Parts: sequence; C-alpha cells; structure tokens
Amino acid sequence: MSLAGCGSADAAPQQLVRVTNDDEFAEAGSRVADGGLILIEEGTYHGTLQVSADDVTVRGADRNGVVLDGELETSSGIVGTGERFTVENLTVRNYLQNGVLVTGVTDDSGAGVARGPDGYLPDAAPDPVPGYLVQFVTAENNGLYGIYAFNRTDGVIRDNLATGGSDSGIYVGQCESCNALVENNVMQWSAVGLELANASDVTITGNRIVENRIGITVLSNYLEAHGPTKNTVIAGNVIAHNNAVETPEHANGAFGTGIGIAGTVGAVVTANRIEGNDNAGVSIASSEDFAPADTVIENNAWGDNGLDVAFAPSPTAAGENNCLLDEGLTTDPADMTCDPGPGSYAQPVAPVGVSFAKVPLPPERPGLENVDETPRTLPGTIERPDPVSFDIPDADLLEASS
Amino acid sequence: MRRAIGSALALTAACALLAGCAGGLSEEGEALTPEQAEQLANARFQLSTLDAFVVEVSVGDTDDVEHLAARITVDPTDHVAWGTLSRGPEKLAVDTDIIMSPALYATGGEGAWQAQEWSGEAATLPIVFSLSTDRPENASLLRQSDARFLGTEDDLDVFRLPSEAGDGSAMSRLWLDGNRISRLDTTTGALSIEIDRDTDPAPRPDAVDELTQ
Repeated sequence: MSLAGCGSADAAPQQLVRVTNDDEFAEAGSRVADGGLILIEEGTYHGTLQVSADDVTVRGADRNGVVLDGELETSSGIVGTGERFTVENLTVRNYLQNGVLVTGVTDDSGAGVARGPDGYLPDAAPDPVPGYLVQFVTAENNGLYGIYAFNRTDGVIRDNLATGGSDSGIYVGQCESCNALVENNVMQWSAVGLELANASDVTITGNRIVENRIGITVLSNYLEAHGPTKNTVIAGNVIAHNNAVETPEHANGAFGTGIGIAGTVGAVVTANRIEGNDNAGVSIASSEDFAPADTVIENNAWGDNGLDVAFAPSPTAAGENNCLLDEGLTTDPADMTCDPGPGSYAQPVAPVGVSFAKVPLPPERPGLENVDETPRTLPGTIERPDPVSFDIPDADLLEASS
Repeated sequence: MRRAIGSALALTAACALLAGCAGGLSEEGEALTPEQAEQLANARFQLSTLDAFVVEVSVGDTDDVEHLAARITVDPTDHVAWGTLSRGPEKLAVDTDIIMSPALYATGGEGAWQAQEWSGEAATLPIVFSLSTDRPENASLLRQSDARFLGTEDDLDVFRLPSEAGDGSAMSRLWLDGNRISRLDTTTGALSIEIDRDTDPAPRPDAVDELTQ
C-alpha cells in the first residue's frame, strides 16, 4: 500500500508513508501515525525529518543508496522525539549538528533548565523518553554527532558506522539511568569515537573504535542533568590506534588515547583489546569537581600504547577505589594497582586536524538483509549483557566493516 | 572532553571585561526554541567557512582617550588578522597598521613592525578570533543554558550568550541575520563588532606570515 504524495500534512496520519523526494521527506514526520513506518526510497534527500509520533520506524530502502545530505546548511538529518523510535538502513552526512538525534527534550520541555557550573537542577529536567533503536546507519561528517541519544532511556545503537564527527561519532547523554546498549558499531575518524556524558547504566560492547583522536570518553559535567556518570561497562571492544591526524581536533586537545574516563563512578573496563594508542590506552582523571571512583580495569589485552594506564585526577577531586587489576603494564603512576596516588601524566599537544567536512568518506557497507513494510516493535525495556560473558575480541573485529 | 558549548562561553568571557546595561531589547529574554538554539549554535561555524571576513571593531566610548577602533580582515583558518587600528577619541584618532594572532599584536607597517603587549582596551581585540569556530555548538546543551532570545531589531535576531555561572549574567549579545553573524556587542555599548560582508577582505600582507610564524 503506497500513500505517497496523496495529501497534505493535515491529512489523517498514515501507517505507511513512502518518501521519494524532498517535499515528501519534509512532510513525512507529520504524516506518520503512531506505530507507523516511514520508508525512504533510494535517492539523496535534503532537509530534516522530524518525527514526534510514538512507535515509528524510519527505514531506508538501501543503506548506501538512501543518503540524507545536510549540505553543511541544515542542523540535523533525523530528529525523533516519540517513544520507541527506530532509525535504520540509511546514510546521513554533512549536517551541522547531528546525523540522527533521538531526544527527550522537545519544544514543550527542557528549555532553560540547566544551571551551568553552579549545578544542574535535576528536578527541573524533563522526564526521559523511553525506547530507541538506531541500526545499520552510516553517519559521516556531521558537525557534532553522527548518532546522538539525549535524555532518553532503554535504547540500542548497533551495527552502525560513525565517522567524521567533530565531537563524536556516537553520543549518549543526560540520562540518569540510560539502560542503553552500544554494540557492534564501527567508530573511526572522529575527534571522539564514542562519548558518554552524564549517562549512567550504559554497556559498550563488541565495537571497533579505531583511528579517532580518542576512542571513548566517559565523563560527567554540569551542562547536562544527572551527573555523575555511573556504572559504565566497556567490554569486548577493539579500541586501537586512536592517533589519526586527519580528523577533527578534539575540543579539549585529546589525542592518542584509547579510553578517557573523567569524573565517573563505577566504570568497568574488561575484555577489551586496547592497543596502539600513542599516548595512553586508558586515561583516568577528574572532571570539574567530579572525582573518578570505583573504576575497575581487568582482563584486557594490551600492546603498544604510550602508557597503558594513566591516572591523573586533580588534587581536589582525587577519587577513591580505582583499581587496575591487569599486570605488567606501563602506568603513571608506576606499578599502579588499587587506590594509587595521582601520577604526573599530562596530555601532550595534539597535532593540527582537519574540518569534519573534509574527512574522507568511508567505503560502503552492508545494510539490512530484508527491507519490508513492517514497522519495528520495540520492547518497553532492554536487557544488557553481563560483562563477565565477554571474551577479548580479535584485532580484526568488524574490520571488514571498517 | 569539554562540551562544544564551551566556545560560546569563551566568547562571553572575552566580553566580560566590559560591564553595564543598555539597549531597547528585552533584558530578560525568552528561553530558546529548538530552532533558535540551532540558529545560535551554527552561526559561528558559518563564519568559519569563509576564506576571510572583514570586521569593524569599536572598544570603549568613542570620546574616550582610550577608545580603540579597528578595521580588520580576519583569516578564520589560520587565526591571523590584519588591518588598521585607530587609537584615541574618534575626532583625534591616530591610525596605525596592525597584525594580530591570538599570541601576537604588532603595529607599524612597512618594515617597521613592533610587537606590543596585550593590555588595556587592546586586550579585547583577540575576540575577533572567537567569532568563528571549526564546528557548531551543541544546540541541545545551548538550549538548556541561560542563553536567551532578546528579540528582533533592525531585522536581526538578537541573542544573549550563555554565562559561565549559568545565572543570566552575560552581557554579550550576538545579532544574527538568519544563520549569519552580523554583530557582536555588549549591553554596555563598550564593545561593538560589525561584520562587513559588503567589503572584500584586504590582501594579506607578506608581513603576516613573517610575524606570526
């Protein structure tokens, strides 16, 4: 059943909205019904698809053949604010802000509620919106984030490629208990591959995070609600060679770092392959007055990092119960185990980078095997795997997809 | 790991030297809509896409002996600028050529360049390098900040920038023509920077590279 081009945005919401041109692309979000499907046919589209209905699926007919191009003029490619929102099987590039933004903050909620460094008022934060799935999306050369989940819970981001982000390829932020799973993605050629900020209860597993300036950052701050970030699990990933010069510069000058943990509580780093990061495999620090605490690093494979682990919190937020259980590593302070004193590591000056708009586009990659007209039905909550269930991946994890 | 909104705060901090209150726009302003947040977030990146742009800068009261006026071409990629600096009350001002980078400030010209200290009113001039960034700000976070839409005047949308304290104390305003920066000023009237899009950038003097290497 095709209803494309048969009415205005005032018509009754449709279960299937087919998109074949820019006008239909612009209107599709206002035409789709709760539980409906927006099916985008092959082609290049410009503008923004804004979707507020619940249980909507946005699906490209071909991951590499459906291209949303912001032309460095449009803010975001897809913005979803409804519950249980799915985006899949398309490419989104050249947007000034985000390729795909799944947000719980709308025009009716959330404006002007932060309080900056004096402290956020959690009671004023909008309620999080549950449910999202972003998969088989190629997000390249977007001005902030390729895929951005903000003020959302119960989400899965998997099987995507994110490159050329001037901040990060994938970002999860502002969720007190995100219950989010970031798995089996490739993140490369961005300032940061993956970033979590004030995002608790997130599991990062099975990803290939290579050739960025910094692979993963997990941090806390006062620009978003719900700090500090707690209970991050980083397990079973390849986090390697994050020394790529021809990438956007990191806002804080980071370079050559596998994982940066700043002012978070209860981070677990296990069963990862952390190799070839020229400055530090893992860097642990404070963030503003958020102290690093209860970090556990164990059972990882290490090699050819400048330092394997650097621990350098500020004197006023030194943290406690941080443990490195892997042995035989190069660390600062030396011979780091549990509850170390602060080392002297300082980030070396990073090389000059390139604009996000000038990062080369990656090769095409496989999309959904079957593209049909059935919307996804997302669960009310998601299950995250137990970190003890992971093995250290081979170095070529997802290499064929990178 | 600093959030992108930090660069907007840097612009605010650079204006914070200059205090006071004036203007016919709303003082309190309104919280930003998502569209306004994006408009503000993208503006300085838009300026960075130009090879060079021309600005007119005025620092201090035009009748004051410390008044500075400058007409400068800014290279947003290399972070260098060159042009003419006028010192003193408007009717008595003395002109000199100027070359600037964030680290350098030299006056003179024609083989007689002299490095100067960043001090007094001149210390405000490097703000021209904060007018552009190599990436947009984060609109989602900007909307949660104390940045406000103050209204429309002269067909320009006027925004108060976020403050470091998050308490609405910023005095710097950005005037936008769509996504394009037209003006940066303070509510005090002590600083005004106009983007002159009608004038071609001045040729880059050879001395720029010699002095800024």
